Amino acid sequence: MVQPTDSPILSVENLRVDFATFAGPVHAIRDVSFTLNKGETLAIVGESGSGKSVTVRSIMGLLANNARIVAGRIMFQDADILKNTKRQLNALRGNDIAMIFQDPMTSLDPTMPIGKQVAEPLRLHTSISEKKALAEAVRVLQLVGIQDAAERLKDYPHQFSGGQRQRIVIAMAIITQPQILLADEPTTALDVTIQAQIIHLLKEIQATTGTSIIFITHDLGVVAGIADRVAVMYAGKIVEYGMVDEIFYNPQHPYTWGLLEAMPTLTTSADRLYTIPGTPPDLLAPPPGDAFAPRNPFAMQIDLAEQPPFFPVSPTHAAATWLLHPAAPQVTLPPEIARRRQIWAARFAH
Amino acid sequence: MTPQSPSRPLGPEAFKPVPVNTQAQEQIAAPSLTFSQDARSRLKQNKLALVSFWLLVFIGSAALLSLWFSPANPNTQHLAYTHLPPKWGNLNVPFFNGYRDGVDLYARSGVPRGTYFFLGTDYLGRDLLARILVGTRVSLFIALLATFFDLTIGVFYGLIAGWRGGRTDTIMQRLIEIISSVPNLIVVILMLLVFKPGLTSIILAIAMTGWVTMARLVRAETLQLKNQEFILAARTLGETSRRIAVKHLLPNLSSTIIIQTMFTIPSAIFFEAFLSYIGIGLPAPTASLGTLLADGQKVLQLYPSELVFPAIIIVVLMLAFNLLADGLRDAFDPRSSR
Amino acid sequence: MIKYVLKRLGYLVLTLFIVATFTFFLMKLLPGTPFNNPKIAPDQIAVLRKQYGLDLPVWQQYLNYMVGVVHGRFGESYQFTGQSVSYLISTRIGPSLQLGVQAMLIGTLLGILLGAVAAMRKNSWVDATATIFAIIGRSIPNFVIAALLQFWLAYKLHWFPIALWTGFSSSILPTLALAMAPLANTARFMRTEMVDVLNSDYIEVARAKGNSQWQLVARHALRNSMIPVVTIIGPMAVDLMLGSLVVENVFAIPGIGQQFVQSITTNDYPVIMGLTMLYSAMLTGVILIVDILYGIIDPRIRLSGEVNA
Ligand SMILES: Nc1ncnc2c1ncn2[C@@H]1O[C@H](COP(=O)(O)OP(=O)(O)OP(=O)(O)O)[C@@H](O)[C@H]1O
Ligand SMILES: [Mg+2]
Repeated sequence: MVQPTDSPILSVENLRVDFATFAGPVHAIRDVSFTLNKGETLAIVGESGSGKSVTVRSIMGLLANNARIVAGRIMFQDADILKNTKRQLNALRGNDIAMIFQDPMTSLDPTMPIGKQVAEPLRLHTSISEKKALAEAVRVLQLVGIQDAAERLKDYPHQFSGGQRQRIVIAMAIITQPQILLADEPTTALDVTIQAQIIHLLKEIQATTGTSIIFITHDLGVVAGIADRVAVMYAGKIVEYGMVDEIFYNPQHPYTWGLLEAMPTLTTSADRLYTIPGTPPDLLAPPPGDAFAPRNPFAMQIDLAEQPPFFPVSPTHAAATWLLHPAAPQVTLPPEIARRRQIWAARFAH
Repeated sequence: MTPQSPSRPLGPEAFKPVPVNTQAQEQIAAPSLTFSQDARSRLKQNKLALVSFWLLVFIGSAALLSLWFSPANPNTQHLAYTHLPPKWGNLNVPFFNGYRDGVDLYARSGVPRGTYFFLGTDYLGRDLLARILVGTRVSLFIALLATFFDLTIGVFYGLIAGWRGGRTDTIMQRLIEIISSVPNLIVVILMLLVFKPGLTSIILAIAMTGWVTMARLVRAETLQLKNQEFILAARTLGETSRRIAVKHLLPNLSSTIIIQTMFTIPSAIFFEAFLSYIGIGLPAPTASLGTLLADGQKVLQLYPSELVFPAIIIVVLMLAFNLLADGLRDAFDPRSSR
Repeated sequence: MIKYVLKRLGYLVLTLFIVATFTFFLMKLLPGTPFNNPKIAPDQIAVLRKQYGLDLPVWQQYLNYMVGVVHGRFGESYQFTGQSVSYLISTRIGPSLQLGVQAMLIGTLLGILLGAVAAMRKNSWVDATATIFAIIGRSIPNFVIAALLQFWLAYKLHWFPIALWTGFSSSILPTLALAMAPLANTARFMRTEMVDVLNSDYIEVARAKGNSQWQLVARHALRNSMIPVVTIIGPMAVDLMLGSLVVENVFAIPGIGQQFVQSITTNDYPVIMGLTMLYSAMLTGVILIVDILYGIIDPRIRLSGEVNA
């Protein structure tokens, strides 16, 4: 069993990404920084369009053609990934850093047998023979829970179910034993029971190999089961980060509150699901202040004028909200958040 | 992720709450365009399609205007003036000065001063420019009329097959399969053998084979549309099939129909040229692009310009129609090719 | 699979039967036979009509014709007295097939290459050139191409024989003229397919595995975009058959295309009927083969055991 550590393996520093569009540059990532520690799982959560995918794609060098990295560094193994040549990038991809995508139905080449597809990263990054690579493919396929893997090597993707395909995609990602796994909503397209199985599988893989995982989702419910730490993104910025318990039981940013309130619990029924009112800002012209202010019931004048800096809450926890400023008034917490804070307080009472 | 402290000291004013208005947020900044406005603006961005459109307008009106303002009678023969090279007034530019191989052919043939043939003359001494104008008009006429017929037949056939579905559809599909198992030009040729060669029969022959593609497309799309909610709603409200077809189906089919029509026109132009070229199209002395090309081909080695000029026109016509069709398709369905 | 092929063969036979019937009665409707020539004496015409069985009632002629067709006999040519249509076709099909196959190969291979390169370098000058080339290839009638090639490369530059069928060198220009349309169509189709494929998720996944641009294309994109190209082989075969009608005439090649045109001008109905049947048979045959081929090369269809037409 490998435990998460405090030594960073990857650090993203002050990343800014623009997309050129007809209407002008879309500022999709606006100064994002975070670190990923060896052996840990960092969850990035946020609404659709908040920039989660763009963030991990920058790490992989898989941004669309119209993307431009305006500023920032991504440090991995003492080098800036963003300065890599194409060749260096190809040597990294699928070898040191692997990625799992959202839709298992379209992630596999429909005209190539799965054995070959799973073995492909090995063939690309090592000089291992085809036969050995396929034998290794059988091993990983068994590991991810594909029955009769040896017999099914020659089968094509359409002969597998969605859950099986996602397992195959995972097998493909872990066959080279990468140090970092980037999982961009790997369970969103699957139904709930399969979701749980896949998350369990990822945890198991991490426990045996010590891989670090960045797990992207817009579903906080999934986060609790997998993450060690959580970063909350809104409109191209990280607005709060902390250990998973800190985010769940001592959240500070009103946006995180909203996300937690929107999370279905045992007591809320699905048809009365709460969603945060309003829509995210137009990233063509992001507002000068806190981007969440227009939707924030606790917004203050300062939120409209100036972007909040990160206020530390604990050594591992910080949030970018003016509410944490010493001069800010006390607000009445939404009931759900108050309930969570109570649980948090009770824990420290012991 | 290093925590920072605020850049400047903040007064209590800054922490006054602001009333939130989430309603205002819901409004979308950019004015939304209707589908056809959107398509039109996309088409306007496509330079090639735009140029093609104006080129077609130009050629079309030149051909039409030549009904009244022709440079010469296209059928008047001057046996003394055969195969004259082009001459543009007193312009002294090679190829366009009436000389060939260093000989002033206009002087040698005794063409009176002040008489010019802008594109030269053919083997009967007829003015080539006048014939090309007439030929273009005839070819366009044939193509447009044939396209109109096959559009009508094709849309009707496709609508019925798609809307009725079931047995009717199966039978109609089989029929299409059989028809398309014979290369359509062969059908056209067989038709032309039965009818008397001439304008009407060539139009009919092209129309009778061209509708199949249109019918297929319209059927496929009708099948899809049929099960969409607005059609189902109209049906449950008891609207008649004909009303649904006119009110709901046709507007939704219009982009497919327009695009396919734009692709049919150049192929009709080609068919006419092809048939006339192999000698079963329009009888002499009617000029069409096909007959002009056929005449030009016969003397190609000696007088290449007599093939090249009509060839340029037909290529430009087909090119322009194809580009315009491509442009329209991209405009209506941006996903399809770009 | 076998059941499917048999069913398709059944349809093929039925289609050909209908085509034969249709053609037969169409020919009966025709005004004039070659024997309407006023120079031929009436009693001679009677002899000729008897010789060709034209004095029999129509239904009997039809029966005779269909029985003959089943046995591979299509009657005798009016024009070349004493020559059977089958024999005439057999002496002339060689050059046509050779040209057709050569043009098809060149057209599809170059087209795939051109389309693939255009897609890979989307919106670059390569793409623009390829697109313009494809549109021009689609817009110049093949007989114009044929005539211009002949004038320029054969007549002016003497690189190739001007006409006639005197070995491989005389097949080059007609092949080029014929290949233009398939080339243009394949390139266009291939580009669209490949652009789609290159934008697909599994290519993104393959890129994330560390494939370089060329490896991506060679291992994943090319195969996936080439499979649908098979479906346009049918329409291309049609283009080639029709193209051969004029191209063979321009280059005076003794093939079936030239024969068809000649038979039309001389009202040689048996030959027209025979060739119409032949063209239809070739076309339906090609489409059948393409469908089967598609089933074989596309694993999604292959393994589900049925080919959807
Ligand atoms: N190629 C592109 N061109 C222009 N804008 C883009 C492009 N790719 C992403 N964006 C913009 O960048 C922003 C962030 O997108 P991103 O895909 O990272 O969101 P996300 O958080 O992953 O959302 P989701 O949960 O829907 O996957 C969005 O506003 C999106 O519109
Ligand atoms: Mg995403």
